[in-house]
Amino acid sequence: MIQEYPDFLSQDRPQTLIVYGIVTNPETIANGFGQRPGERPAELTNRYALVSPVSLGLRLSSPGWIDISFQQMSQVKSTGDIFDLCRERIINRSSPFSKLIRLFLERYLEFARAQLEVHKHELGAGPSDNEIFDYRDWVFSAWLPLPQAQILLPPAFDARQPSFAELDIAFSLSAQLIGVKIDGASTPIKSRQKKLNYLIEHHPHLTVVHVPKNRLRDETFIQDLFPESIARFWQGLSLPQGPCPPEILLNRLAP
Amino acid sequence: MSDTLSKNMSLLSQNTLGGFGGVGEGMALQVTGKGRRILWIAHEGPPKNFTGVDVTDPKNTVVVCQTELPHQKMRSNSLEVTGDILAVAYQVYELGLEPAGIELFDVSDPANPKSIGFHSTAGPHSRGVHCLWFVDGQYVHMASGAPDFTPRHPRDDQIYQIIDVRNPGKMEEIGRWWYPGTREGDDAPPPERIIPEPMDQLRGGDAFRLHNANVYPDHPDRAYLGYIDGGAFILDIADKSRPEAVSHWSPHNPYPGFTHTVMPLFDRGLLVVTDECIKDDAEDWPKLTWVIDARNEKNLVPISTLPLPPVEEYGHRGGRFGSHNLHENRPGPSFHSEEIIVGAFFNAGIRVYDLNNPYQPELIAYFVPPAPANSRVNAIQMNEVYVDENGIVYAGDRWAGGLYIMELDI
Repeated sequence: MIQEYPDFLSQDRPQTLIVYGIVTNPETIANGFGQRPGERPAELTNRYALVSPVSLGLRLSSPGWIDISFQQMSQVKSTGDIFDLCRERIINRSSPFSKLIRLFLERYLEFARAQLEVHKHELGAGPSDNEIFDYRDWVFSAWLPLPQAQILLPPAFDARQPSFAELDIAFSLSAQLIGVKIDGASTPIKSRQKKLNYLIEHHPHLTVVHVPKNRLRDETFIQDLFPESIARFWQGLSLPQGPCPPEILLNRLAP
Repeated sequence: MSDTLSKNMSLLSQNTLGGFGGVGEGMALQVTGKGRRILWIAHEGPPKNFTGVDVTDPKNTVVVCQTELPHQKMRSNSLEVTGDILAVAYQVYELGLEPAGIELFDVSDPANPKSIGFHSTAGPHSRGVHCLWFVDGQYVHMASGAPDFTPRHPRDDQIYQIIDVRNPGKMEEIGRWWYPGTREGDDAPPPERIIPEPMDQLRGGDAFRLHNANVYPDHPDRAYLGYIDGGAFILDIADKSRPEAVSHWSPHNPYPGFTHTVMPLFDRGLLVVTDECIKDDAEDWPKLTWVIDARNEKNLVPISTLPLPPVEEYGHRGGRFGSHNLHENRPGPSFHSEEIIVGAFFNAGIRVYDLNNPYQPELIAYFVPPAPANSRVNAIQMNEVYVDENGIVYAGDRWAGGLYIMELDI
């Protein structure tokens, strides 16, 4: 039943389902929720994210989006290696024919890494043999970009079938959803625009950032278009954490 | 076939162009200073030169201008409008006839086009211009013979030429390129013919000549050529006086030739390439529209084709069945999409595809009207298509139906 699907307008348990990556038919993912109705915790997988207004936000360090095998993990030798692995995985979640999305992701991820060099004194300079963490480890606190995001619209939009609004990239920050639309010369498609308009008008926590296509050619990330929290992603955290942490560590860190 | 077949498209109006409803391969939209919207239409053949239709109200269109060709042994199959300048291609049916070339008109008063320049390409081995591209107000890119070009094979006469038209009264050729081996005196050997046909027939297939050249102002250093049996070419035209081939892709043979349009989707690293159907009753089936992975422009890789309806349903409905012109994302008052592809497929009508997943293009809309009255064949023959910035689709029947205007509901 579509009424059982995640609904960001729900009064008692508002949740936003973000299907992302190369997913031809997002309905199949939404339908999975209809088959197991009831309370659903926030969730992050390699194909979708389920977030609520009280979610902590999704970062590169959030478990669930990346699957790194034990063998791969044993081969990484540095923070940089793991970050490169993350970058490769994120970019490969977008279609090879989405050149602009891929360009955005490359610029954004490089920006996240560069931010740490700019602010390394604030983050505690390293490396030191006596310290567990290096300031570079904060890079995994960067907000996780969800490319080719398709956001499930509530039944109020269409009660007959699941409908999705398309964003080029989505970020789930604490209590805020940021959608990125890369604006080129394309003529809007009526049906897609209608869904996007509905999303923008009705989602209580969404901000859409329009990125002019030509700004992607800039050498640096278009920081000025985004809220400060995108740039200072480590604020509010006490310790950095890598992606794909062991389950036992997650349990100990859980509040 | 008597009923219209359609999905997500509906007819707003039809205009048979005063009984001269044979539409060629040129449609371009002008928005005048007063906000009138004039669709300029090329004709498949004589006696008409071009027609201007006021489509400001797409449900109530009015022919505001229809001009005559100088004689019956020629056609003006192609045209383009940029601003208030209309460029028209003149092709003759016999070598050496005149006028052959391009003519520019000032159409600021659409009811009274005023000739402002003519560039002749007539010559002993030339039929003049078959197709032209003019979207920046500065250069015409065209398929034409030339007075000083002698092809080894008479059907290989129309080569790529770049004409500087910034001074309409003194247009000048500034660059040219042809398939290596097709000119008398070339070092390269002549290309192997795909499906040899008698040499005394000038029209038709078995040709290594240019059809369409697409050059986009935001990528002015690249030309995308459909070189008929020669396949698709990407040229580097950073130096317009010396075009150089960057890459080449051709499915011929085993596929039966006639590459027509090569349309780049720049932001996706894709090309959409059509092979024109040129024979009735599916005698040259399949004539496909190819989707090419061009992320590495030096290594073009076909990854899919746009799905066509079954040949057993359409092949013998009458006339041609298969690919032809596309809406080409040209600048101006024009629909632009790198995902939605709109094409004219002769008796399979106008078809609209979603290329979101380029490995599996999906048909999302179509419009196949019945055969128009007075047509030579018993089926529609959608020959040309143009989509405006509001998603209104303008299409032309090759023989009699004239202009069809459809609303796209996708």
